Amino acid sequence: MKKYDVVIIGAGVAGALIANELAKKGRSVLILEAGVRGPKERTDLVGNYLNSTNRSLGSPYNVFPAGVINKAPIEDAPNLPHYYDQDYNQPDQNKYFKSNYERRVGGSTWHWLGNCPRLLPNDFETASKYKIGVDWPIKYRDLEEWYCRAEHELGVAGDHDELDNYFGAFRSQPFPMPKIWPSYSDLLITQKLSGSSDLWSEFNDKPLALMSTPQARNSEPYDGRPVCAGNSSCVPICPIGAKYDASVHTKKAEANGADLLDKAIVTRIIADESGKITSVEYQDWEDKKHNVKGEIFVLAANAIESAKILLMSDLANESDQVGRNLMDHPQGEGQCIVNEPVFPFRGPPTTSGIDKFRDGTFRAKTAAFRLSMGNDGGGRSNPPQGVLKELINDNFGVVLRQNLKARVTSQFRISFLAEMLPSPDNRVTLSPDKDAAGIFRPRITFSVDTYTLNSFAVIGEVMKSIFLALGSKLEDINVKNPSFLPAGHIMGTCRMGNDPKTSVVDKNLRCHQHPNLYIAGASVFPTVGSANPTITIAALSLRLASFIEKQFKPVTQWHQTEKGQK
Amino acid sequence: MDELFLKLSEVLTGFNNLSPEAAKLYHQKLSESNAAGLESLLTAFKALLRDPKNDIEERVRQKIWADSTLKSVCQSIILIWYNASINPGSGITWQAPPQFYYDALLWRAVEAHPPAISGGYFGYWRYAPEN
Repeated sequence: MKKYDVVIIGAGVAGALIANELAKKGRSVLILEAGVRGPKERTDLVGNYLNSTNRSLGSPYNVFPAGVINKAPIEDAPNLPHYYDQDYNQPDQNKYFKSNYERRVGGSTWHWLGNCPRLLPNDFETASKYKIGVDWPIKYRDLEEWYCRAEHELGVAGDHDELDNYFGAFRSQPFPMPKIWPSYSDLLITQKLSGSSDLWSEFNDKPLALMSTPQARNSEPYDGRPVCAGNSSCVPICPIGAKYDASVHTKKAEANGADLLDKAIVTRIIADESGKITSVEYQDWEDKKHNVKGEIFVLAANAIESAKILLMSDLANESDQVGRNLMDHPQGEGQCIVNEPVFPFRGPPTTSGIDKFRDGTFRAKTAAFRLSMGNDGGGRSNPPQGVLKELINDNFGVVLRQNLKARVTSQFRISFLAEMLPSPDNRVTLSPDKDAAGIFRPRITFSVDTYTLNSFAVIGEVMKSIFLALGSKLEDINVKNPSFLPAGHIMGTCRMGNDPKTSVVDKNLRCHQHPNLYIAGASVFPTVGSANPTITIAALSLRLASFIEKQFKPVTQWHQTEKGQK
Repeated sequence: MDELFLKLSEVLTGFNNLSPEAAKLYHQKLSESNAAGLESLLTAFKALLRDPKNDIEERVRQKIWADSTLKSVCQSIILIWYNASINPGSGITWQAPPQFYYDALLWRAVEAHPPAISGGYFGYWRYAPEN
């Protein structure tokens, strides 16, 4: 049987980037993906979305022909039982885990929004700076070069000058594309907030102002993909591929010679007595077992699945940290009615944010947070279908039409995502229950602590002050968030650190106990700051690919030629 | 009956020139769950059309909307045209095929477009809609 140079578990953004980088160098690479690939045409996925009756995050993806059982189940899939084993009867909404992910070739980037803010320098040093969380074993400057490369790989549109050195986050290269144009409401709100830039100066000396959100969606034709046409359905699917998803790099990896097996559910990573990994055991959707050998192994199956695979394999866990420190970015929304139309639902759901609250000494006591300016009316909490239902109690005909227009076109929301601290008690373990493939479901214990929950009240006041500055009436403002919304940012569980007693991987993402096993993805984040994780996942993955390549002897010219002729 | 349904739909939705094809589909779909209620409503509407007094919207308000049973059927007609589905938001039980979804009146009313269909060229969202 063929022995691969590198076996990668998981075909999401981390696995896809690493596979492509190493395949380009002539390494023999195999990617194992538990879920499916395809369908072949993106339009089929869009059709699933249009035909679905719930329009959920997974509606384009979790559609299988009659009789086919999805052997890579996810949480919240329609017509399927819960995948997570957790206490759903728990009355406190802040005590269970709400985010899910896609198990398929391309992973959850299929339904991400594309936001690509970098972590800030102080996010890597929260223990030293604010006595919260832990320090990363690397600093912002160690990752900066890789952030630039990641922005070029994914195709990020952004405003270099605006972000360069913001909170000390220097940028050595411009974005590959100019920023996504701001929405009509961004421009209106910028104008209305211009006299309020000194609001909340007690947080720091940064002005209260909108900044363009760097996003992995094309503002120009890029990398063979079209420019964003404002279809407004980035979540759950971009119908034209203007927004990046990791199928871009799985295709590139395959074109460069990598093998990709879908429906290949890894059940065990096998080590010899010295701790060196020798092979990976997986089963296909017909429950047939297989084994594949390799020199180097990369676990990139997302924070829940990666932890699960290590626990099932009883590996890399001398520190007892595998599965611990599970984190998300708890989110919430505030809505208001602006005193003039802002014309939402046209273009991307967000194009700007307020980054002022992402750093400052306040973090010693309150979570950092980032505000995202909506371009989707009342957002997730107050969709226009609900407004319509309310209005038809009293009106029909032309009056209904006019009232609906007046209300919805002046709706505006801000959403926030808040920092969450690592806690050993927030963890993934193995459930005694099995899934449809006969594999352990993840048991999850999770609770959002007061550091984050207390920030909700502060964020509510911040959002209220912004809405008032926009000319909204107090009675038209809603900033109550009794519980959090999930961000889908599944992080922690295999933390990186210098000390093998308190971490799973070292600064090069190599497992302390296993010289040829690496972990990629947000599972290695020791802390999470207030940045959507994907661009950091991508930067770490490219850095890891470079490190792995250095473990091999240079590929011979003969090998490269042979690859080229394949 | 489809023609009558179409005429009533225009009064209830506030939109003219609705699609006869959609009217046929929605009429059929609503009949599946409440044929008797729909027939009563259309009979009442037909009677109003014979009365030349006042404008039709006002007559519907007085004679139909004021009747809670008929009003409820009217609301289901409005919702199916605006959403191209039944029971949106609280567990959709039926979704019209994509070509009808693209014409859902909700998005036209708010001068936007349904998600997953382009509103135009890159950056159009920077400007106010042109009506």
